[in-house]
Amino acid sequence: MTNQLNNKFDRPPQRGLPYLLSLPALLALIGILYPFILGVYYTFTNYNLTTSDNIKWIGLKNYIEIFSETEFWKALGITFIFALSVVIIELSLGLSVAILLSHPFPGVQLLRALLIIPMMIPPIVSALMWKVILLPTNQGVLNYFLSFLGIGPIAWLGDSGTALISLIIIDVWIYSPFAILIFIAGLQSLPKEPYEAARVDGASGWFVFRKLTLPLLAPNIVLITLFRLIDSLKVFDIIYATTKGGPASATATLHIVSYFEAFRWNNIGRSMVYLFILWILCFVFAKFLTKLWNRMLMR
Amino acid sequence: MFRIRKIFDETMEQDVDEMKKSKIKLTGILRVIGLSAYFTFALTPIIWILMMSLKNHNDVIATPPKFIFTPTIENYKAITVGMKSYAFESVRPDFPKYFLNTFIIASFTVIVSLFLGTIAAYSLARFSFRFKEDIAFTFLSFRFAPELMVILPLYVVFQKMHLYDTFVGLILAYQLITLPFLIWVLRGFFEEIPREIEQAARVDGYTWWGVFRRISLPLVKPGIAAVVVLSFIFAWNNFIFAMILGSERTQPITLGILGFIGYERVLWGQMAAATIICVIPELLLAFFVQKYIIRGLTFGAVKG
Amino acid sequence: MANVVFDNVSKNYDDLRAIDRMSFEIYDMEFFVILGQSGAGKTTTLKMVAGIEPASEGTILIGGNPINHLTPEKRNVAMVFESYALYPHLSVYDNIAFPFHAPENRKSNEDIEHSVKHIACMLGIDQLLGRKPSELSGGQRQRVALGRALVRRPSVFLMDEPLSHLDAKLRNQMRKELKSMRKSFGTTILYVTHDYNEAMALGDRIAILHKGKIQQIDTPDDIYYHPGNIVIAQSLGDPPMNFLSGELSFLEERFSLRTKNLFIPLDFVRRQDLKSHIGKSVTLGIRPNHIQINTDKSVNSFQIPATVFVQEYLGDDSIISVKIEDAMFMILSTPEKRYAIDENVFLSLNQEHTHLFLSETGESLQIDSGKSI
Repeated sequence: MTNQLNNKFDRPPQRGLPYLLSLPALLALIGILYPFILGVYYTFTNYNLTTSDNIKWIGLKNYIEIFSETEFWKALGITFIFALSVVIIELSLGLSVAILLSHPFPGVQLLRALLIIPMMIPPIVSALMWKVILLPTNQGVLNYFLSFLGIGPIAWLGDSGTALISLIIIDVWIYSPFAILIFIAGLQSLPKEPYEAARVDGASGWFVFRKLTLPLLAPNIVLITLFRLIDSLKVFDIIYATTKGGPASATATLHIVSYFEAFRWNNIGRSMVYLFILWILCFVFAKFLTKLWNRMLMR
Repeated sequence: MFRIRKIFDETMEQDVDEMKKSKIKLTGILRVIGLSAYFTFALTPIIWILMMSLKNHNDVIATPPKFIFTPTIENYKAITVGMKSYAFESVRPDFPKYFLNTFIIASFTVIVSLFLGTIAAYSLARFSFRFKEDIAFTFLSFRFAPELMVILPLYVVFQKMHLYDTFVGLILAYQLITLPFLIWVLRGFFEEIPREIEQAARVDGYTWWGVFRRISLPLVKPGIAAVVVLSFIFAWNNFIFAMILGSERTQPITLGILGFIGYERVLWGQMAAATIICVIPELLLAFFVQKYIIRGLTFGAVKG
Repeated sequence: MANVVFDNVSKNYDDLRAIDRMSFEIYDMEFFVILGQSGAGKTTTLKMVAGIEPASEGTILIGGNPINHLTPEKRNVAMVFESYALYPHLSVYDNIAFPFHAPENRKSNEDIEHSVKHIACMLGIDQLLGRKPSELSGGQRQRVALGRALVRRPSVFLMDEPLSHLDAKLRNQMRKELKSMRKSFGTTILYVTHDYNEAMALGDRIAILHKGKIQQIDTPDDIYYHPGNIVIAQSLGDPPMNFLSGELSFLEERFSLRTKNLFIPLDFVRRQDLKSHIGKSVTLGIRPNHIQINTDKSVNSFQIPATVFVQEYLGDDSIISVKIEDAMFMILSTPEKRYAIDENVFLSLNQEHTHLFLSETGESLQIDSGKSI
């Protein structure tokens, strides 16, 4: 009898407590999940903002329609070109600048502090700043300077040939500090001994960099790729502020197309298909890269 | 013979020393060039906008761009108190209202997140319970979801619930930006407290709540400060939520700045001044929590 | 001010059984030491008393009352953690006063100040009350941790290897101070350690814990001189006890240990009922200080031939490692006698201090089976 009582009391007294404590956050989670699921449901309907009272289940019609349109495949391609370009540029630029900033010299602290400025400014405002710099005529600072080199003027954001490049420059400006700061943190936490050993062994600088530094920085590379790849796949603000997808759909990424499907053509169903596909892409890459990152931390 | 050999060795050593010295010099020069190039790229837009905000209308649209000009604060005046004499702008500028809107939305968003998230973060850090990791990951996964995926259906819901273009609605929606962030980063801070310190406090006579209030919470104070500042900045910087879920009444500063560039007219100077006003408070805040920025931006993945 | 009873207590972590059916009593006001290797379950035992870890099975009673269902704050125990677990954001004064702000043992401010000052003086940290833990040395932190536990009048005082993070000199000093202060503790103490010196010096009784099981509970002397099994014999003494395995044989009314080439007489074995073990594998155990090493073969007593492997000089002592067939013996000697490597020597064992264990189970063949647990 006493034993039974004991067993009952044996359990930690706060068994339900963690759930209770997480309850507000769990409710918030439901607040997020509900619209998400609703959104997935809309992909199978003809939901249109102008005829919103009459939502009809149309199965895979939206998907079939969109997959058969070149507009979608073009958007998918632009999304990937943009994302891969910025990730590669930001990784290499980030590592280069981080190496330059990882050795102590007078003023290095100030330079590192300055790095946070682009990241703290609203992206949409950064994009507008660059819109000024990239003005198409010699009124723009960049064209003005290029004119001394006999180049230009280039229309930058106004030309379908250079619009995507312009956006890549803007994205690199905003986010390469992110890569730089993470690489600096990584470089500073590198173990000293392998480097001393390599120096004793007489290895060259390039060899040490390739065989020692890069592998040791692999977790940082994965982490930067995770955040930058996903965020650039779903880029929206800087395109909306500058080209709105134009000219001639040259910068129409999946996220931008989905916006115009919803708010120019009022077609929520089609818009949600674009978003759902983009979401799947983001989710798959995020899942893969977080797994990779966790596995690297285990080692 | 040995002597010669020795002298030879010595000169060789000198040569190597010389080589090392010149190599160090060379890398120094390369560093200066590289850093100058990068920081020119990084700082030019900011400096240019700052200059632009201090130019009068004619200087702003001058071609080629003017680097030397007489500074004026007329742009700042125009967007804050309004300027009757000004050719383009109305008497009562909207910009202060946008600023205030942003301040209201960002502040309340952070307060609500802090209230909802702190204890949840503690719970996820300290107690073990079923689905814990699933719950935590679901929060994280929305950091990696395209915003419209949730906002668009939310727009439909808000229209029906009359939350569209209301502060309450926006503050609720903004939780999507700040809450997962706050929970994840704070969870990391709580996990860093040695378990034994909390256990010692239990043995010293405190309930879990007493331990949380008197030990855990004070110990993560710097973390909370950093998370609050960064959440505030993220909320302040947001654009897409307010654009879709709000309208005239709740318009924040980011949309306000975008509004200076309309189809019929472009007010570069005022846009620049608005940008400077928008950015200064957050940069001041950011420098206080500089140490934690990387940690914040990586959701706690990089501790430092 | 209370005894502690473990009644068939077990602790499981998933599939792992950390504590296996532990039953014993710690008497009121006793200084009780649990000695064991890391991973033996010592800290788990303490945390079950403190209420930090719930017991999976069985009952723990303090002062006759079962406490399994009580949360830590209701158990009125005090604990010193191995890591000290000082509150980094509080001053030394506030660390020590911390327990009194809890609803369970609230006191008036004057009383708190009086108690804190009293304890701080006793521990010699009264000059440090304004400092933060980060400004203290290891020894000072240790005293603060002790002070925080001592300042209350708990019914049980739990100490988890409180000296293990101190350097050797400080550890010896603190050990002496703990011993001298124990009267003023005025409470039951449960102390765990992996250091047999600490256990021997401090404990009224020692419990040997091995792989979650209590092996033996006895006074320090009894445990040291009459270990109930090989594990216990191994856990006490440095250098550790030497062991030699062989077969128990009985020839001409004498027990002896038969190894590959040796017949070692076991004259200390008198119990006739050992006859049932004849032919079984047994292990002889002897401590390094109970062996005499000779360079000449004596005629009138039995000696074990051995060859010197290495000799280490440790100031006042010297440890000589010798080889007996496949086994290595360590012998404590004085540094004056020097031996060459591979020198042939002859060992005579102090029969009174020689132990014999059954190899299969490890249990001692000399102690009445009732005494070992």
